[in-house]
Amino acid sequence: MKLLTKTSLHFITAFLIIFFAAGVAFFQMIRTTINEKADAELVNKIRGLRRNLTQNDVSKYPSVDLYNDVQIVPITKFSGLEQIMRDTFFFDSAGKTYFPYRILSENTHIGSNFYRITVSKSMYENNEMIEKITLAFTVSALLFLMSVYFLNRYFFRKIWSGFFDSLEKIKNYDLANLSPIEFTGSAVLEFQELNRVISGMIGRIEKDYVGLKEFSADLTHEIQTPLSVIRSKAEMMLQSPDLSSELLNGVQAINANAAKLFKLNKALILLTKIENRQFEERQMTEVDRIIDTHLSHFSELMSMKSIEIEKTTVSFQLSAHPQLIDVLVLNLLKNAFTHTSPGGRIKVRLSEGKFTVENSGSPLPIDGASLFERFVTAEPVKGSLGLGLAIVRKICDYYGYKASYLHNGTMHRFEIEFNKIN
Amino acid sequence: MKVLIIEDEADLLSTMDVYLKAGGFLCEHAFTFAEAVLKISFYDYDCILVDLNLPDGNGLDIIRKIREKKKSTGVIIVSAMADLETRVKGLETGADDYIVKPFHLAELSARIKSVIRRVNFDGSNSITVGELRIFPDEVKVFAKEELLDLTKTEFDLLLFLISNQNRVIAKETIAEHIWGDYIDMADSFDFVYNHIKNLRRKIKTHVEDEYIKTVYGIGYKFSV
Repeated sequence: MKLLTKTSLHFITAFLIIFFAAGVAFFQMIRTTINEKADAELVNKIRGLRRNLTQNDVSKYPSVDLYNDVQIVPITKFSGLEQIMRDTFFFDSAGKTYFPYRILSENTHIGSNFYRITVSKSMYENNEMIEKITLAFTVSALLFLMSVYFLNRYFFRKIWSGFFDSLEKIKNYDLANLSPIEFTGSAVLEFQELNRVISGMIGRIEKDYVGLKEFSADLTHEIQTPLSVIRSKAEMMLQSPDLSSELLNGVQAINANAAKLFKLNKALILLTKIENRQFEERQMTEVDRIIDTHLSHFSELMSMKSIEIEKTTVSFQLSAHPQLIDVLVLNLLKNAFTHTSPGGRIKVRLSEGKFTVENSGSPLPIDGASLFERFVTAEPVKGSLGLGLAIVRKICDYYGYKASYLHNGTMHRFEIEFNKIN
Repeated sequence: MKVLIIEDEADLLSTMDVYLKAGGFLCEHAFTFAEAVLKISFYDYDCILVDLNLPDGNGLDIIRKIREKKKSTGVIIVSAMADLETRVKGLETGADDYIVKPFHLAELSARIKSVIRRVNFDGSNSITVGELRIFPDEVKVFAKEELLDLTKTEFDLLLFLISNQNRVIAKETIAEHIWGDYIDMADSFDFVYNHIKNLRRKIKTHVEDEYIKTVYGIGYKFSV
C-alpha cells in the first residue's frame, strides 16, 4: 500500500471515529438542554394551574391532544403527588403525521375532591432545531474532512518529492557502473540526512566492491606466478637424464597437480567474477554459431570416443556477454562428452529460446538438482573438477535463464531456457 | 635466435632461460621496465617476451616502444591475466601472441618459434629435421621428398614436438596444446597415444628411424 493511501486511510478512519463520537455527544448535549428547558416550562405551567385551580376549571379541560394542552380529570384516590414526565406522539389525522409532545402530569385536590392535572408541550420545533443543527454539524465536518484530505495530498506530493526522487535514483543505481548517485537537494532535514546516509553507505559498498574486484584480480596473478614457477621447474626436471623413474613419476605428479590447481583457480575466479557482476557488457550473441564452433573443435574427440553426435539448431541470437555464453555452451558440451561412455550418443538441440544437450547414460545415484552445485559429481571422473555445471548455473542465475536436468530412462538431459526479455 | 625475456619473477625467468637456451635460443633478461627499455633501444631481438605487470611499469608501454621503432620483432605477452579484455588489448597494442601463466615451457618454446617464423616469413618458410621437411604455413610435411598425408591434429602435434626437439614433453602438455579447454587432462592420454601412434606409422612408411621416442609414464621426446 502506498504511503499516501495508507496515511489517508488511517487519517480518514480516525477522523470518522472522532467525528462520530463528537457528533453523538453534541447531539445529546443539545437535546438535554432543550428538554430541560421544556421540562421547566411544563413544571411552571402546572404549578400556575394548580395554584389557581377552581371547581369550574375541571369541566373545561377534558383531554390533552393536538389542540388542547391541559387536561384535568377527577380521580378516586389520592396516593401522593405522583409527578410523571413522559414523551408521546399525537396523530394529526389531517396531515397524517405524528407530532412529538412532552407531557407532565400530577395529582392534586380541590377541597376533598381529587384530580389529575396533565399539561403538554409540542416538541416539534425543538426537534426540528436539533435536526438542523446536526445537519449543519455533519456538513461542516465533511467539508473539513475533504479539504484536509486534498490539502494533505497536495502537501504530501510537495514535501515528499525529494524522497521519491531519491528512491528513483536508488532504484536505477547499478553497483557495477561505479557511478555514485547525485542526489538533488531537499528542503526537508530528514531527507537530507537520508541522502547523506545512503551516499555514505554506497561509498563504503563501492569501496568494498572495488576491493573485492582487485582482490580477485590479484588472486589470479599472485597464485599463477608461483604456479608457473612450480610447473616450469617440474618440466625442467623432466628433462634431467639422471632422474630415477620413481622421481620422474613424482615430478610428473607435481606437474599434473599444479595443472589441476591452475584450472581450479581459473574456474573459481570466473565464478567470483560473475558473482561480482563483472560481465555487465552485453551484445547480440549468436548462440548457434558458438555451438557450431565448439562442436567442430569437439568433432575429432567425439569420433575418437566413437560418440555419435546429432545436432539440430536454428539461428538464434540473444543479448549477453559473449564470453559467458561461450563458457555456458562449452561446459554443457564438455560435461556431455566427459560423461558419455565410448559408443554412446549426444544430442544437441537449439530452438528459439531453448538449448538442450542430451547424452546417453544410466540414471544417476544422486539427486539431479544437486548436479548444479559446486564440487558435486555423480561419478567421479579423474581430472574433472566438478565446477563446470556450477558455472553453468551461475551464468543462468546471472541472466535469469532456467537450467534444469532430468533423466528420461536412457538419456541425461540438460536444458537451458533463455530469458524471453532478451 | 635472440630472445629477450622481460619478467620480474626471478625463479620463473631462470627456468625459462634454461629451457630456451637448451632449445638453442640466445636469451637475455630484463627484470624491470627500465632495464627492458634500455635493452630494446640498444639491441635487436627476434622475439621479446613481455610480462604485463612489472614493478616499475606496464608491459603494454614496452610493446608500444617496440612498435614505434617498427622493429620486425616478434612480441609475446606472458601474463597471469587471463581475461578476454586484457588479451584483446595486448594484441591490439601490437603483440603477436598472448600466453597465460602458468604455461608449459614446451608450449612457450613452440609459440616463440611460431612467432619468429611468421615475422621472418620469406616465402620459402620451412623447417628441416632429419629426413623431414615441414612447411608450417602450408600445413605440409615431406618425408624424403614425399608428401605425408597428415590430419590437422597430427600436423600440430608433429610441429609441437619438433619445436621442442630433444626435450621430454609430458602427455598433459601435449593434450593441453592440442585440445586446450575442450578436455580434462586424465581423459586425454589415450587420445594423445592414438595420435602419436598414427603419426609414427605415417612417418615409418618413408623413414626408418624412430624420431618420436616414448618416455615411459611421462610422455614423448622428438629427437633425430
